[in-house]
Amino acid sequence: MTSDEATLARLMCAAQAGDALAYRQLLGMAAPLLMRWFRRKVAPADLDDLVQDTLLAVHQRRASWDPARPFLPWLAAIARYRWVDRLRRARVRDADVLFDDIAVESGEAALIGRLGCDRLLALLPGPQAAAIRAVKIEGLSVIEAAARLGQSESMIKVNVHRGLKRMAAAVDEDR
Amino acid sequence: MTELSPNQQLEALMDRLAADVAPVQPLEDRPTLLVLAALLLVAAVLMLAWLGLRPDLMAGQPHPMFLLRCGTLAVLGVVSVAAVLAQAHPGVGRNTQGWKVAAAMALLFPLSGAIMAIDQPEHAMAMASAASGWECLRMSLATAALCAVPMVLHLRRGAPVAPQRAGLLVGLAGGSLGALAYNLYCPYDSMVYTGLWYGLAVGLAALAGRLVVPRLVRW
Repeated sequence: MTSDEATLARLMCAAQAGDALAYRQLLGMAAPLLMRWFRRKVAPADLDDLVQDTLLAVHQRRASWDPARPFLPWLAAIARYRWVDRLRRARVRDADVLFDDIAVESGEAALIGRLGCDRLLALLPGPQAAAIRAVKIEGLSVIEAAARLGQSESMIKVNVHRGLKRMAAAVDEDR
Repeated sequence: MTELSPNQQLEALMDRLAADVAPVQPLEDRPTLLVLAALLLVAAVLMLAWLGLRPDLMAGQPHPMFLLRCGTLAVLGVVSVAAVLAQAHPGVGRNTQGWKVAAAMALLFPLSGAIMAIDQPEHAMAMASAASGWECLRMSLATAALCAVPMVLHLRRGAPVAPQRAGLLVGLAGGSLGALAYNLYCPYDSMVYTGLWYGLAVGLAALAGRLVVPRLVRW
């Protein structure tokens, strides 16, 4: 079964009605989507936790999905919320193991694109987005990020703080 | 005991969630809207029973300022309430900006009031020290707090992904509706008075919402 919008929405409808089988199918389809989306967005050590955290959020908040609306934008908003929350709590980590990206199968590329954080980062001013990418996603230290980006260390900290705040406020935006 | 691999943990979690799934009623906006409308009506009726209706309304000849305030506050209130309800159903790309347009339009009142205050400082002083200004503030904020209750409960049942914006909108919606209710009694038609006291009421309610509501709806 393919994880297209119509299928996911149908399964979620059934899940809201209490159909455990449909719900298990839905979670089974959502997990790899989330895994692929989050893969380059957090450290590998956090990946499983973040996917599980997002699935729990989906479970707890499933009543907030309106069957009259598409499912994927709802899932994307929940996932982004959890991701930004994780970034805010994340510490600087090992940069070497972060870019083990696996090529996205062409059929799922569009779906994952819709979940993408790149557009969320694109809402930020350049220096803020660059500081967040360097410190929170690539895992550079503040000193390393400052050297690479040509910003002072305090500016890096300020840009990360302001950028994450702005991202948290723009979780449901899409430009 | 064997430790599960991350993949097994994920599978186990999904099995557990699926086994636990119970039917849920998709969150509907209508019940919240009805409760909100009922609360606003009760607040307005109580206020009018206590303070009375504006004389021009009693005479059936409403003043243009009353009509302008009614229209502006009603539009701002309705648009903000709609934005609050939408916050409970997240979705990338769903963030609408309509409330910003309505708020910008409403800002014309404090802006015009400030310009007129510069031109007529004595009148401005009289309006700023009017005792009923504090009453306007108290009544509007009390009604705003009442109106905020069903909106906060709605958000807590939903999944607001921008709690700070949701809080600001709850305050803006409550403040607009509170001022709208008080407007039915308010005997003043001065632009300076409206800009100052109504502007303060809506602005303070929005600020309070922005500061207090996020911690109530964050999940």
